[in-house]
This record gives sequence, structure tokens and C-alpha cells, in this order.
Amino acid sequence: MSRNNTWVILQREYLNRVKKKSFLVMTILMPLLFVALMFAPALLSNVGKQSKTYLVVDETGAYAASFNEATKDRYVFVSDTAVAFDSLRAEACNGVIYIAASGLDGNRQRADFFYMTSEPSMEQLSGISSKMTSSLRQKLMQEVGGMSQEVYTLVNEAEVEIGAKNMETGEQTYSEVKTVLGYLFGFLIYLFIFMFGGMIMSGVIEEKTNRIVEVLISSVRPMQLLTGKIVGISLVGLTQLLIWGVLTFLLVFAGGLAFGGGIDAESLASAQQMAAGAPIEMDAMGKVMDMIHSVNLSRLFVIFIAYFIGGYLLYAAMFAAVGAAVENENDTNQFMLPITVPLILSIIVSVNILNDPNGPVAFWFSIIPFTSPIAMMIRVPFGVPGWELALSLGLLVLGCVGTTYMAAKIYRVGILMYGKKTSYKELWKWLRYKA
Amino acid sequence: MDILQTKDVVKRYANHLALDRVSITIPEGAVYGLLGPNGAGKTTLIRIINQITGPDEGEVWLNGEKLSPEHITQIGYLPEERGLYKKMKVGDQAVYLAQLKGLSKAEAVRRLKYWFEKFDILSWWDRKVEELSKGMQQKIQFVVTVLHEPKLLIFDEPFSGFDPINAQLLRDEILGLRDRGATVIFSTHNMASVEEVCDRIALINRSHKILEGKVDEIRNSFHANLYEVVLETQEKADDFLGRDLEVLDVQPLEKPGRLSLKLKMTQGNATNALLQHLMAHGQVCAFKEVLPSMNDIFIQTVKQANEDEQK
Repeated sequence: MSRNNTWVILQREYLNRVKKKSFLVMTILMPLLFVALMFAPALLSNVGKQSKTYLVVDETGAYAASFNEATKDRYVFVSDTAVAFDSLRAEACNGVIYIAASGLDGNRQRADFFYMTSEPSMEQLSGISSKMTSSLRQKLMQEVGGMSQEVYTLVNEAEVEIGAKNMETGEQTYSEVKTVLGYLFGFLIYLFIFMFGGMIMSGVIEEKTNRIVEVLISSVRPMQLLTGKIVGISLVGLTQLLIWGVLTFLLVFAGGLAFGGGIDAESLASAQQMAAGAPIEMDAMGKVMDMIHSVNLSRLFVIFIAYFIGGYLLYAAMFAAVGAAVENENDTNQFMLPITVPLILSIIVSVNILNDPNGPVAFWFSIIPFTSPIAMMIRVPFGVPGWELALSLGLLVLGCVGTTYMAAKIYRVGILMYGKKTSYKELWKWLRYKA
Repeated sequence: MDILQTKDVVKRYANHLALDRVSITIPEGAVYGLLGPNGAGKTTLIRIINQITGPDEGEVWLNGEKLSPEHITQIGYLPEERGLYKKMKVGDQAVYLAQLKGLSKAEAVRRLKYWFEKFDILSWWDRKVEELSKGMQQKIQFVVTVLHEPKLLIFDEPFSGFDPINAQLLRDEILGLRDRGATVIFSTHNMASVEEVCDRIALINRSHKILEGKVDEIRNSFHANLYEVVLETQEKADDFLGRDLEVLDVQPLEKPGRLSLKLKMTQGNATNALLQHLMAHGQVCAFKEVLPSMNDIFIQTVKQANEDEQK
């Protein structure tokens, strides 16, 4: 009977929210926004049509072939950086691509893009990186020779990382795909925790101010009510996420087709080039796809879901406890602090994490459960050792159990307390009540 | 057969004792009034019976079994502070609450249709709760409380918020449920309704039970030897009434010589002797012993208990 009750509650919590108009609107609008954000830069750069000139300083000598196709932009090889920087300073070119010999490590090549006034866009960088990657692959194949599984893996996973730097200050900018993806996923978790946590909190406050909780609590245990609510709302979140994913994919796909068809002569030329097997200048669709391929997306997605669920569960019961401790939404502020501080802190340190994805700040923030869902998601696209992921997820599970245990105690007492202004001291008392 | 028994139930909160060794016994088929001033511990006791909270010491027995989670479906509880989801449709909500009491969806719908028809509220099925008046919401809450046909019904201030007509309807329904075998616990401040519907009461004050028993027995035991008499006489009342009689009130009635008297016997309670005495002095038109009202008993007992406590 008792498990059945949790199920009945879960169903109500889920269906009631999914059937709301606001859910439908959010679910449809967000993918449109995502896709618009993805395509806008690509479209704008196409609209610009202005040809740009880049100087290439290639110390390895391996990438000559990368830049010799006829493209809209011009690439000119120069022998040393001093010449190139002078030219950049004189605004005779738009940027300098510096490929250091020391930047080569196995099948990875690190390169820098220096700019003066205008930062390169993500598309520009990923375009350059993909041109270089094909050269790197050819080079690797020639060097190794033969074809075995190892060679295939080595070549297939070859990668060129290109980072943009301001020439004067040496400051790194964050327009790389990984940066954007890391930030996007981290921010999504932040958003979801507040969105669905807020749903739990207002649900609890509604039941308390309505006094329906008195009726409910004579039929079900507070833990069943809490569990049904938390799990039901988490399913709302996952449903929304799933629909967002599917819609975004369909829109990107449809958008790619539409834009591909729209770019007449040039795209036709591209298509012909493609048929001839030559590398081509990519259209918008291609650029987006290329960005996505440059990181292991399915792995990223699995980790995202894990941290999404973990982060949500870590905070869910705390939101419920806050809801149970107050009489109306206006009183929540004083108790929101322990929830908002770690979350906002993780967003603030995201800059440090991006600067040094394996540094101590990044490490500790991505290990401690309260900040790890966001901090780790920012790090993951840059590659995180397996043991760190395992440790972080393990601690997150422990954290979930711990916060839920404490918060459930506060919840249990709080939902039946009226007409008293609650303080932190009061909450501490509730924690020590017996069941 | 006793349906509910609490044995020395103790409940402590951080710095106060909510219930101190409270034992009550409720026979099956009774309408049992749970009375007491605000903050006496009634709601705590009701919450313990509903297993919303557990006692720190003592035991609760239902139908000869120690109270356990399975008993939830045998109890129906209408709390004093009650509400519904405002944005949810009446029918959906009633079905939801019934499911939580263990009814299947189909069974819940079938029974709800019966009750809604009976209360003439079937047309509200698809309306949102926020569109209904408070009285209408109370009707729905009542239906939801009794829908799973519990053996034990607990009503906390059931009549608050009802107009007199609907309060009467509700009273009849509650007594009807009692007649069909349910036992009812009533928690209320409305002493008139206690006299009207309760067979037994317990009075709780400052976490102690200070009085328990049948309503008529309690009223008899509190009788103060007060009598209302209508007498036709030519004499003056003060002249013929003896020393063991106190005249509390004399009112001349319209007919000359007819008096309405309120008398108190200060010694003994030999009513026949009193009657004979009165008959010797005139024509007795009416004679009635005045029992104290539950309201008087409530106030008197609570005051007495508080004074005793202070000593």
C-alpha cells in the first residue's frame, strides 16, 4: 500500500506540471532559442562576406597543405612571429596562426591564434582547426604507415586544439568549442537546479498554506510525500530535457537543410567540391556539426545526465525543507542562502576553471558535492581523469543521501507548523526531533 | 467492544510537554467528544491517533490491535486546518485523495458520484476548487473523509465555516454514519453541539485528561441541586421558603400570583420533600431540575484544574 501511495503522488506531481501551458511553452521555445544562438553567428559570418587575411607561422612545416585551397579568406605563410606580429600590429592582417613545433604531442597539435582588436569567432577557430586536423591526419598516416586498429584509432582521434589569445595582453579568450560546451552544460545544471528546485519549494509551500498537507499526511507518510514530489518533478525535468534534445536536433537538421539549400552558387560549388573529395569551406550546418564532433558528445551527454540528476537530488530535498520552514514565498530568502551560495560560487569560479581546467580550484570545486555538478560539467569537455569523475560522483551520491536525510527531518516537522516565524535556531531544533 | 484505546500516552516537544500520560477509551459506535481549551493537546492526540506523529511513551490500540500503518485506511480524518489544491479540478482531486486512502480509481469514482449526487454537487466535478465557496469546499472535504468507509472518523471542528443549513446536513450525515456502525471522534469548542451529538466526552487541559465519561452521567454528577419551578401562590416567596433553600431568582409571570422561581437546595437533594413543601403553599405548575450545561462544566472544571495546578 505504501509504495503504491508514493506512486500515486508521483503521478499527480508529474502529470499536473506536464499538462500546464507554461511547460509546453518553455519546452518549445527553448530549443528555438538554442538553435538561434547556434546559427546566428554562422549566419552573420556568412552575411559578412568580407575576405580576411591571416598570417600563418608554421614551425612544424606540416600544415602547408591545410591552407592552400581557394577559400574566401586568405592564408599567407610567413617565416617568423616577429614579422607576423608587426603586420598584425599594423592591421595589415586579421590574425596570426602560430603553430609551435613544441605544440605537437603524439596525435595532438596545440596552436595559437593571436588577434589585435576583434576576437575570432568560434566558427573561425573551428574552421581553422578542422583544416589543420586533416593535414595532421595525413602526416600521421604517412609517418606510421600500414593500417591496424591502433593506427586507425591514433589517426581518428588526432586533434588540433587552437586557442585564441590577445597579442598584446596574452589573455586567452573563451571562444573555443569546449569552453562554450562546458559553460553551456554547467549553466544548464545551474538553471535546472533552480528551476525544478523552485518547483519543489513552491509545491511544498502551496500544500502548507492550503492546509491540504493535513489531509494528505493522515494518508501518507511525509517521506512518501517528499519522495513522490521529488521524483515526480525530476521526471518533469528529464521529460523537458528529452524534448529539448530531440527538438534541437530536428531543428538543427532542418535548419541545416534550409540554409544549405539557400546558399546558391557557393553551396553548389561546395557540393561539387565535396563530390570531388576535396576539403571544402563549410556551410552553416557543416560548421555546427563540426563543432559538435570535436568533442565526444555522447560521453559528455551521459556525464551531464548523471550530474543533472545528482545535482538536482542534492538540492531537491533542501528546497523542500525551505518550503516547509516558511509560510509563504516571501519568507524563503533567509533560508535560501545555503542553497544559493555554493551554486553561485560555482558559476563565479567558472572563469578560473576555464583558465586552468586541471588546476587546484577546478579540482576541488569539482570534487566537493555542493559545487561539483556545475564545476565538473565545465571541466568535462577538457578531459577529466576517470578516478576524479568516480570520486566526484561517489561523493555526490553521499552528499545526496546526507542532505536528503537532514532536509527530510526539517520537512517532516515544518509542514505541520503554522503561525510561527521560523529561525535557523528553530530548524536546528527540528533536526533533533524524534520521528 | 472498544474501538480505540490510548494507554498513558506521553508526547514531548523541545521544551514543553504536549500530553502527559493520557488514557482514553472509546467504545465502538460512540460519538466521542474530545474537548479542551486551545493548546491543551487535543490536536497532538489526534495526530498521534492518525499516526502523523508518534507518542514518546504509551500505546495506542485500534480494534484490539496495536496501531500500525495498515490502520490508516480504517481512519478518516477531517482536520481543523483543512484545504484543497486550488488549481486542481474537484473530481480529479477527490479521486486523488481517495486513491491515497487505498481505493482503486474506478471504485473512487463510483463512490464519489454517489456522494456528490447526494450533496447535490455533481455539477462541480470539472470545476476548479478556487471557483468554489468555502462552504462548498468543506462539503468536498467531508465527502473525501468518509469515502473509504472508515470504522473510525475523526472530525476536528467540523462545523466551522458551515452555514446553519449545511451544518444541520453535516450533523445528520455524521449521525447517519454512526448508525451504520462508524465510531466518531469530535473535537470542538462548540459545547451546544457536544450536548446534542456526543455520547461520551474527554476533557483535556494542559496536557492532562481531567474528565472522561458519558455526557448524561457527567452532567448528573455536576448537578448543583438547581430547580426551576412555576408556582401559583398568594404568599410571598421569601416568607415560606425555609433555611435549606436559596432563592436565586423570582420572576412574577403575567397571570397574577404566578411566579417563576429558581431555587437551589443547600442541603441534600430530596426533591420529593421540596415538592411537598411547595405544594403546601400553592399550586405547582412546573417543576424541573436544572442540569449544568456542558459549557458550565467545561469552564468550571478547567478553572478548578488550573487552580489546583497553581497550588
